[in-house]
Amino acid sequence: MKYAVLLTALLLAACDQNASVSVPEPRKITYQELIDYPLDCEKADSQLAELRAIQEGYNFESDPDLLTHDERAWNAIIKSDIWWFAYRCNKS
Amino acid sequence: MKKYLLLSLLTASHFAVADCNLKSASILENEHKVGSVTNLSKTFDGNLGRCAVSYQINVDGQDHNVTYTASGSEKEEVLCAYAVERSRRELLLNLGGQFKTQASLVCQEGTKPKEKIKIGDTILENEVGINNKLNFYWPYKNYSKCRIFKEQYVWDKAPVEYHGVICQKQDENWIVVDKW
Repeated sequence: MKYAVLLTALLLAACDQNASVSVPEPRKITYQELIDYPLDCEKADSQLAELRAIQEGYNFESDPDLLTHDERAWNAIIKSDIWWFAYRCNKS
Repeated sequence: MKKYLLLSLLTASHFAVADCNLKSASILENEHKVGSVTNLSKTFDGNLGRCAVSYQINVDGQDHNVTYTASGSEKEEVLCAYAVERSRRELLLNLGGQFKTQASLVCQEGTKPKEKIKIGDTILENEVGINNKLNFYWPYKNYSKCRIFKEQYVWDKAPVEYHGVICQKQDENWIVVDKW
């Protein structure tokens, strides 16, 4: 019985912990903001996370020929920004 | 003057004569007697970024007529030299194991010069162009070095520019890691 109570308490605590974790929604970003994105090695982790969230949100086809003109433009900037961190900041 | 060439190449598997694209996953080790390139003619189209070459070459006592079209954003000298080198290499690869067969690799002018590379393809480094603004190598994850590439294709009668990243593991061939 004691074990059952303990297990229940642990489960409730775990559930409560999960409930308190909030996954930030990727902020809306305009095309101009994307072009002017202030790439900074010191903010690599947060900026990479944001760029990847944007990338996942759009979920562009990997073949650029399958993209529309606008999609291609967005995709190109996001990808080149992400790679910027790899070759400038050694961050991936 | 003829010389012996020990051809030992590891390349990606893929061969399509129509668009002059050759890759092979196997290792070829053959000794060929290769003559020099003769009767070389070059036709460069700066607008389309193409260099078409045709020449003769003697391999193992047999003459081969080779024509090849390379495309890219490089200057005339570089692109045409690339066309000669690439076609010569493809000819030798094509001859591997079938020395008695007359063979020549022919690419018609006006046909699609090469197949577009895709993410995950294994390529030779010089199959893609260099981005002059980002002309350097850097290590990345399990790869010893990577670089940004830039290339152009004629797509629907209009030149389209692509960028991407290729990476190499030790002395292996290059892998297209990303493209946009």
